[in-house]
Amino acid sequence: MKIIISNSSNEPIYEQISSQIKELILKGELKEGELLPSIRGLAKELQISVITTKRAYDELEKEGFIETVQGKGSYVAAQNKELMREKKLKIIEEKLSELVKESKILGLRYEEIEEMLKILFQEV
Amino acid sequence: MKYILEVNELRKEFKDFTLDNISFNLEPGYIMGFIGPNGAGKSTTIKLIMNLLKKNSGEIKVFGKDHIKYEKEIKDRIGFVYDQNYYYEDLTINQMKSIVASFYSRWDDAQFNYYLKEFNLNPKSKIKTLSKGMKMKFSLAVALSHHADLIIMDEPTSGLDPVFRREVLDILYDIIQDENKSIFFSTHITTDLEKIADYITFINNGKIVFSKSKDEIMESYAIVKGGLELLDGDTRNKFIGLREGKFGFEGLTDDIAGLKNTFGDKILIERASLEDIMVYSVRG
Amino acid sequence: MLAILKKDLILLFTNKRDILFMIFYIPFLIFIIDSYEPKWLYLAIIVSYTYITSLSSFYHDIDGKSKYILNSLPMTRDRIVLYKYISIFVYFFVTLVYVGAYLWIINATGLKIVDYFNLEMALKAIPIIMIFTSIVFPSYLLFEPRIAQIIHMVIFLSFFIGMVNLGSLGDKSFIKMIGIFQGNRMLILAIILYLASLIISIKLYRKKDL
Repeated sequence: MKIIISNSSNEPIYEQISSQIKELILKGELKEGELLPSIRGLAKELQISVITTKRAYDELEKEGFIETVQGKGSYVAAQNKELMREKKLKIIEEKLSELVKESKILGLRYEEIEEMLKILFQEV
Repeated sequence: MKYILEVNELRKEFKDFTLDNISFNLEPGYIMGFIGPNGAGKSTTIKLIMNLLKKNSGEIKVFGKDHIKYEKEIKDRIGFVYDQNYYYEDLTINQMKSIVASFYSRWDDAQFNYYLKEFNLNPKSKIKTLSKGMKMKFSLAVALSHHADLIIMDEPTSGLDPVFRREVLDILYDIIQDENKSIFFSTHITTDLEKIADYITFINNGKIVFSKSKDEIMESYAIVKGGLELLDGDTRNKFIGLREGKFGFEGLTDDIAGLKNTFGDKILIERASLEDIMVYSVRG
Repeated sequence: MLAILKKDLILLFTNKRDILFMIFYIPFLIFIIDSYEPKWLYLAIIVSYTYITSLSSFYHDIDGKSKYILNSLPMTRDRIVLYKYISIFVYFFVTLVYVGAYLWIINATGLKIVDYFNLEMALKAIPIIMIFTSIVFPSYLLFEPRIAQIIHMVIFLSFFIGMVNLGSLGDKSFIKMIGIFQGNRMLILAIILYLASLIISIKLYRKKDL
């Protein structure tokens, strides 16, 4: 399991953690029922405050990605296939809107983007 | 217990300095950093907690118990590291250890020897022959070898090189894996705290400026930079501390949203480091 | 408590200043107190050694920088003071042995005829030591170290002068004339004074800012 946080990014650290874990779950790298590192163990490994990791886990739990059992730890929650797909779509949508924003700033037109997409779909 | 350390309206009066009714709390399982400029009252506070100084008024509870009424049983569970070496200089590490060990009910010789090895300390050496860093390491080894639940440190890392400071932080991280233990340490090396602290209490001139979670602090303060033309009587007030240079100004604010509203993208907003917060709060 | 006593004894023989004191004070006293009754010399040495070592250990732990360590350990301030008051008796016995051995050697070498052990004087020494420490210990807690030191010197000097006086005039001396050495009077006075001093010291130390 890989989690890399940036101290200089503008994104708060707890968000970095929760989004990285979210991705791992959605990609299937973290399987359903898998035990996550303890909030303290994670804080030690990443050299951050335990309040931060706790916050990240609280977020993940609120959004239904993980479940915490008192005394045992946090587990990857059973992911409804439909829900998973929806969540993944949401992420793609977010990435696309970012892309659109950046392109507009650069002054690119829709057609230029379409061209780029066509090439990428063939290559990747 | 709800709090492992409770300080309530603590007051101590000296001739030319007063610790002015300060209050803060620390829950078990967390690290609290205690920051402030020199002379702000950090050492005084710690000495009051350890009953080395007598308070004028206020309440101090450790492990939920009054710190004077239950002094002995509380101190049995406190590991302390002070900013200077106060141990007997003429004794050897072993001699000093056997004195100290006899007082603690949960002294762990194996653990002490482990730390001696880790820190490269020779048990037969006299304390006066140790360098400042080694003396501190010795203090730390003692503090960590009696299963203390609360570690109190007064500027333990000032005068130590960054390599060793990291080692100390690693050790602190290990201790805090046990969610029943807490660490309270005063320092003016704020970079150490930016990583490890869960809570930060900032004291200045005998008064608590704030006592909050580190995340909250880092999120609510920001450094704002912009051109001098943006400053006027009103806007100056929005800053906690301001530095006006030749080419622009730099200031600390806790009203990030407000300033964004006022200046939009004419200003540059950056994360404030703990040091920035401390310096601007003190200097103004 | 044993640990503290052990520490005090170790410090006595490891600290440079203390070592010098231990070695050279006896000859110094022998030189100064020229008495035709060796028992007064013995008394002076026993009292001086016990008094000085007790005071030095008191001062170190109560006012020296190690007070921060002692007071941070799980031990109440009352205990710390109590141990100091008890430790003078430990120092007394250590003094008897050490001084005894030292003087025995001097005797054996024939440099000077000295009494290396005198039960009567040893017993007389106890109340004297107790009275001195009763006065000096609380003064370190009540006054600034400088003033306390003056009190200590005044007491010690008067003891000295008294010893020299006794040594030279023997039975005709002023002290013999006061008759404080009569029977148990002095011991009882010493015990009462000592206990009162202990209580005062405990009360003072409880309130002290270190």
